[in-house]
Amino acid sequence: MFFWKKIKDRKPKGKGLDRLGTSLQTNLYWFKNDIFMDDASIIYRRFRSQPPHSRDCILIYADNMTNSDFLSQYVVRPFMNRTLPKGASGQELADYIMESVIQGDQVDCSQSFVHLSDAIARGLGVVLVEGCDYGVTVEAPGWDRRTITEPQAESVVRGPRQGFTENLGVNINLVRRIISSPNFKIKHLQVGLQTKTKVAIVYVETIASTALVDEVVKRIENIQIDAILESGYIQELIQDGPNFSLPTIGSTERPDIVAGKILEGRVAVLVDGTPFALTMPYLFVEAFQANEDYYNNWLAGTFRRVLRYISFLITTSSPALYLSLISYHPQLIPTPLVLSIAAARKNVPFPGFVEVVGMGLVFEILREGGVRLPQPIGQAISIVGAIVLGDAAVNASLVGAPMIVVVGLTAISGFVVSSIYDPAVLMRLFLVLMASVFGLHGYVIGVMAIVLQLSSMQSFGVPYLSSLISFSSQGMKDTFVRLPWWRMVLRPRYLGAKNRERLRSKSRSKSP
Amino acid sequence: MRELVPDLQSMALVVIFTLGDSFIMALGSRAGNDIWLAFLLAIVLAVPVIALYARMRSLMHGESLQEGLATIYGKWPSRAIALAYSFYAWRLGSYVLIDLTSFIESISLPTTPRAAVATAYTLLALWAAKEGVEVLARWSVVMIRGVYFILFVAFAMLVTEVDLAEFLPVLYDGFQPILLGTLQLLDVPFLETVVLFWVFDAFVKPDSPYKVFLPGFAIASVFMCLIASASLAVLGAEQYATNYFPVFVATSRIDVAAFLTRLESVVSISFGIGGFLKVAVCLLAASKALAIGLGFTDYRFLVTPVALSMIPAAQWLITDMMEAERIATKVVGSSEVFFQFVLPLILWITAEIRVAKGKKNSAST
Repeated sequence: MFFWKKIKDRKPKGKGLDRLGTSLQTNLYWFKNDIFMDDASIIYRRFRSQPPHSRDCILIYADNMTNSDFLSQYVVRPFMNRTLPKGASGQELADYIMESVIQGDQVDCSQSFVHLSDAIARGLGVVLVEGCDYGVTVEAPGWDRRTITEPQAESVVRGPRQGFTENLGVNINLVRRIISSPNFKIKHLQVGLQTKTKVAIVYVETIASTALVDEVVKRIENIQIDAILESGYIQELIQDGPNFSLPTIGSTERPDIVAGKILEGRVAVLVDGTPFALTMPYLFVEAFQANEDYYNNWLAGTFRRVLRYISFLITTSSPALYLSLISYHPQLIPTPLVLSIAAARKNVPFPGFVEVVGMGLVFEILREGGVRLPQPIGQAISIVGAIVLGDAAVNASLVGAPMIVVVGLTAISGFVVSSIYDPAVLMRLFLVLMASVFGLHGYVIGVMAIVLQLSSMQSFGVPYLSSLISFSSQGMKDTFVRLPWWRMVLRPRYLGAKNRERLRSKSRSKSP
Repeated sequence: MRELVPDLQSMALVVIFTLGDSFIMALGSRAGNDIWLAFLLAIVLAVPVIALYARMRSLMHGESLQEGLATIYGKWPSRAIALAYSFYAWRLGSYVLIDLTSFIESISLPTTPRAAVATAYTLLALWAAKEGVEVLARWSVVMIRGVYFILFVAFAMLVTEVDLAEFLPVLYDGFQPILLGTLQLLDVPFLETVVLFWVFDAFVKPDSPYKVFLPGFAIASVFMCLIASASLAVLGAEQYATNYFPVFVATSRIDVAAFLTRLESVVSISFGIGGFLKVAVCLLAASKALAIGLGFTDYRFLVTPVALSMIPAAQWLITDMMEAERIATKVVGSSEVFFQFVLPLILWITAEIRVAKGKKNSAST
């Protein structure tokens, strides 16, 4: 009881736990019995510095989060081999420890309990010394990291085979290794009241517009949420038009894509704990661009890009067009085809709308079921999907055979534009509904509504359709076509880049 | 809130607006086989009037429409003018809605109630008008490519059907039919452009109104001339005049290798796009003018009532196709002359005098 009272008296005035005292015993008591009470994973390593004037020291760290070999080698051993200056205390002693004792790269000191306990929770080692009201933090990360591999969802035939990992530092370095310039800047922020997730905003200072960088920083600083478990949290909290499913912030696992985007004047946000980096502003055309377009021949790149636009049209429109053609405008289909469709649908008891929506739903269920299943069971699902729901459904006259073709076509073309797969599904459903009510005119009303929505959207002040509505050749150079590099002289105007010149003339050489 | 739209985007809006629903009905049918002459004459006559609209907007440069009107004409006269044009835009929007919905009803959805189609288009126009002219202009840029693509491809496929002999003999009936056709064209659709005067809040530069209105109008009218003439060359003057939807009927003759046939439904898509934009712009103009007339700074809360009142108006103003046809192809209407020519002329002369006086006053002080 007496001990408790003693501590209580020594406890600094003000709001609860605040600053360290000079008594090691007291400081340790607070860490052990208050902040990290009932936490068996925190290690308290006692040792003494070398006599004369030897002092009691304590190293506190979280087990498995910190590299204990590193701590013993470069923190505990130097302490044991060294005499601390007699009578030194406070900042003076902390400075001496940081400068002359500890052999680590990232060393810091603090008086605040909150700051030190955060550091321990983040995996840093904290050294407390008798008679010193400062704690010294040492960075010694020791948790397991995933190695750098090629991201499965964004694999390429030609291009670097590196993908981001869950470690922020590694991710930043992956980008920095591509842009080795002092103009490559990183702003660090911390988001999440509980998770205290580290967030890095990266951009190229001489290219990205200052207003854009400030806006991104401001939006991220405004976030007051308990946890950031993935960059998707930040994406949803800071993006424009969050009620519509099309993304206004891009996400990628590839450092080359991040580098390419920030070299055009965009800003990227890397979040600790996830391999998905965010890039902003993100415009509609970016959903149809791929990094390989730029690595391969420009004509091939253009061809693939046009294919993506066509696939997007097919995946959003084909069920609606099929529905409006068979229910409202059969005269538009060539006669032999309309006869065979009619023959195929002869025994189907449902109207076209039920068939289209039903098969569409079945496919989405199959996909959702298959995505999260282990490989062997996933195969079972494809068999069920292909044979039972495809062939057997036609034989049982539940759906017409042409419908299976339409669903198949829709599905395959949907995977071509996988980055906007979900919005495409919703658009498809909307267009089917409109087409079922007003036929082809309903489809057109639906398309006009979607374009209206797209026209009204913005991403960080840039109109979402920016490059699509440009009339100039430099504005259109990277939309439906991917012009050769020697023609893409300027960076896109709509991003407001400080320096628009991307390529000096005479960069292209040829034999005389 | 002032919305600044880049000139090229505004121009796209002018083009689609001018094309609008005009392909649906028989344009300039009174001119008979001299339709192309009527078109050329109408374009020549319309350009000065449209330049006049542009001049008035140019005089107001630096101010929003509301402020500009008030400085030139004074508070109450400007409100009266705005109210009058609000009515004009509202009525024009309703007529376009009628044309569009009757067309859809007779061609592809005979059993769907006209009011349902009108409601769908009006709700979309309501949303578009609430988003504002900036979004509508962007929308037009995206859509203009589709519209031109469809019409261009369709008419390229019609080449084999075109019979240039249909234009002969030139001036067989003298000048009178041409003049009638010209007046018809000036009335609907050329000078309906006056509605656009009320849509733009402000322009980027003092000469922007000319750059927006004149080339926009020129592109649209020349395109219209080509399509109407091509349709006439396919159908012949008599059929062109007697069909409700001559352009539609002309495209139904498309037959490429017996595979690309009956493309008229695809072509009618472009009518739907143009018609919708015209309804939306009329709605926007009517709401903006009404807001100015009633002295409000924001028009958005007026869009919904104005839009909803257009649906029943489209049902009651005209009850059948014959009536719609009569209105769309009449030679000239007195209210149209007033709103499209007389009133703008008076306003322009007043504006020039007042602005000149204002400059003199500011120079002397």
